[in-house]
Amino acid sequence: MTATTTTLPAARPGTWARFGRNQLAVAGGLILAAVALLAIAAPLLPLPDPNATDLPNRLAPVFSAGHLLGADHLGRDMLSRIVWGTRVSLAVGLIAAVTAAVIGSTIGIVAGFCGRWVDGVLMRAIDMLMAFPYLLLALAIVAALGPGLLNALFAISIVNIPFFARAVRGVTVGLKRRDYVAAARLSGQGNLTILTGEILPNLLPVIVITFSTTLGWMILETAGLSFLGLGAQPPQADLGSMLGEGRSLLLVAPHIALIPGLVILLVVIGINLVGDGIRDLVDPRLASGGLVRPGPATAVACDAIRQQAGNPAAPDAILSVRNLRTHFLLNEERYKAVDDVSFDLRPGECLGIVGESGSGKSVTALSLLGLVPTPPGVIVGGSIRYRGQELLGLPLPKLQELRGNRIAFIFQDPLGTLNPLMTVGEQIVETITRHQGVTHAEALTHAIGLMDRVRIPNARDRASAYPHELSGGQRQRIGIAMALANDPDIIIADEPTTALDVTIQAEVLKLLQDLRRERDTALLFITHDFGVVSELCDRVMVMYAGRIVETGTTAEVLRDPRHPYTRRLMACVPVLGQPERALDAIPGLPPAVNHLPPGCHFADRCDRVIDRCRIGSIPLEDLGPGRSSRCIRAFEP
Amino acid sequence: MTHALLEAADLHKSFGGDGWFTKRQPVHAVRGVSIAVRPSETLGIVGESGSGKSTLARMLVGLETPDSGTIRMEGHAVAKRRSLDFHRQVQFVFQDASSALNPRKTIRRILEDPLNHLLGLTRSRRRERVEELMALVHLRPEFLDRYPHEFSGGQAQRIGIARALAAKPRLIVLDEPVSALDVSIQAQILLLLKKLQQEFGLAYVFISHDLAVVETLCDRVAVMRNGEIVEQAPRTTLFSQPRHPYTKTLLASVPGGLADTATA
Repeated sequence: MTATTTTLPAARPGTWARFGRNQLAVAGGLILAAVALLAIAAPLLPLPDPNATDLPNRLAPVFSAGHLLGADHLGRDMLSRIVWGTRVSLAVGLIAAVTAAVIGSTIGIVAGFCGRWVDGVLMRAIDMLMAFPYLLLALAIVAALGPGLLNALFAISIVNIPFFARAVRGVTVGLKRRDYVAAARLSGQGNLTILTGEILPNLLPVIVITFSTTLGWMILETAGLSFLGLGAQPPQADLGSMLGEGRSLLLVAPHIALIPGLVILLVVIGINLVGDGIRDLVDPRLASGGLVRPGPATAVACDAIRQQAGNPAAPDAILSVRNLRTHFLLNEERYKAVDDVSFDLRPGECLGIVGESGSGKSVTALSLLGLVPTPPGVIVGGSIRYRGQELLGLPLPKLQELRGNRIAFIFQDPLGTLNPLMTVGEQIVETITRHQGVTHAEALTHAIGLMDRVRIPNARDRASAYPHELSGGQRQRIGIAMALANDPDIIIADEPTTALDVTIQAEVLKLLQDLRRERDTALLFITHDFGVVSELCDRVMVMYAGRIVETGTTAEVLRDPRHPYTRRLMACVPVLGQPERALDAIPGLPPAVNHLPPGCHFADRCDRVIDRCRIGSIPLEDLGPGRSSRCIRAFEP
Repeated sequence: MTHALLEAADLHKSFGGDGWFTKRQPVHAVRGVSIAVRPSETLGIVGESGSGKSTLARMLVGLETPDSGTIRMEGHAVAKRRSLDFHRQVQFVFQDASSALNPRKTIRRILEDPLNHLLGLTRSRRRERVEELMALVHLRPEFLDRYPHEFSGGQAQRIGIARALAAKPRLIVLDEPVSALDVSIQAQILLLLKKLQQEFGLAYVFISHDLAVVETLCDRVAVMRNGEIVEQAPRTTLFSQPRHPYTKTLLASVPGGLADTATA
């Protein structure tokens, strides 16, 4: 009875390991580390005094005796000045960046968290700061305070405050509405504890990203002000002032300007590469492979096509799937999302696929028309035949000819699948004109007719509505209208009513049932809800951890489940009208499909498990016509 | 008659409508709702999306301030800004368990927060209590030093329940606590809630759109629609003799072939 949960998903590769895979970032890090090390070690290195003049050797070229990088117009050693100058430039840039980060982030957090007038006042002040061209503003500040490194540092800090304030404020506004902030309030935490304990740690990635992407910029700005003579004052060396001094001698002794220029280039490139690397690491949108664009069809591993089906397709089946295996390859792990799935679908029949999340029911459906994103999904085996034609390995144009035409999809979340910038009428029209050679006007008439059929009131008016203007139930009706647009043979519906309210769900189910009867369309209906199955489906197949564990007619499976998983799944669903029925939870969690146990996948949670359950692979036992169970004890009472 | 544990009278709440340059029509999320929860009982609140049930729940625990109406705790009106004592007595469980756990805090720190801020326990007392809480929700103490992203939805919801239990409250408001979970996990959580209620004499306000779940768990049920309670009755009465047409529609809409086929 007690459900002590044991398994935890495997940890993702560590942050440093992922950073190490980004070769550009590592290269940038090495450059930066080398430069920084030289700058830090400057006092320890056997370098001559950077400000000691040696007029006989003025403008000595590179590699001359005693001056490895030559000497400048006063005969000062270039190598020494470069190392000391880099030290000054890096320090000023870094201090300016830290100052700007601290002040800017504080302003951003306070404005975002307090909201109302505090936000208004602070952010308008920041806007005013941003309204000036930054260099003019920096010049004005230095002009007011007088030239000098410290004043240049002030100027650069102030100019960069808005970048931090705006980035941090935007994220804070989102963070303070998070549930965990509400939970912290209910835990008795005050505003200050919430700011420092809940919000600040979640802001750090943003601050780090902004910091790493603006640091290089700030070092450039320091150099810029020094170049103009407003930063470091002679004789002190920094990269910008050295560049400025070398400018007038560019034709006589190009190395005097060239060497500090190169160092600036190296430092800024290094910082930017590292910054980009850090951003890729911490930015959640990029972390989950957001930069990878999936192909238009699921990859099919070549041996998959050759593999022939074991038992032949039923003669009257319109769709026949044999031994379908779809795997996901992620971080050198193989996730067996769908493993060895076979079924037949006949015209006018409704087949339900029941399972919990991660059971592979949606991936099965998406695999049929190659809609599983690649990467990471790959179909590694099996056969899918539609009217005798093999769909696996079909060229993309032929597959697209079937999609939305002979085989149509209805998705769970109509808001996510409808284009928000197109009217719903146009979207139905697009589906029609893609597959039928009709004019736009004819297609529109047809579209309005379809909207009428799915019982959208005032179809003619609603056709020009955008998805957000419709209710959830109406949006799903549009999804159904699109699926019906080309009078398909098969409709695959993936939890089409899960996001809907129960009264709307009842209407949508009735609609699907009527349409199926009228047109003899085959329906593959994916759901986790036995109630929905019993209302709609002729046959049902239950999936668990990527495999079919039981099949049969709906009535038989519901009356006499022959796999322990089916039985227990039914027992743990509360049924309206039977409040006294004791709920019987299934202990534990489903296994991760990248580490499946040998033998029966359900063995760890099963109350009928015996030793033999954990050995070898358990076949789907035939229990009579159309009835099967993947349980070695299926015949026992 | 004794006082109700928590009693809300004529609560109103609307959102929006306060633009600088435009006058938008405010959304009246809750209009004139009155409910009362007695000690150790479960009050179910059912309704469809947009019925105002979540707003009501958030007003009850103090995450939203009602525009008008009163909330009484054992007969005493509670202040607009809820006291620490109120938070000790009334706690909340969120619908999306994972988003209610700070991704940058370990489970230990998350569970210690209420012990620290609400009860002011010492460090060693907190350590003990945190392990007790984990045992109560059937999670292993080794998980304490892990971060929220390492947990599944059901495990995260157990942690959410443990946090709500931390300050030994008398009432927990649960906002759709199982609707994001798979059915096998949902049953685990429902059984856990029942067990905890028996063990500690807790009262629940259980918000849900799932009528069957509400019927299994609740003593009394209120049906909400468009911000109002259209019917409120003891469970057996409401489910066997619904009076309001909307309640009847709701009950008739549940796909329920299983009711007559299941023999389990």
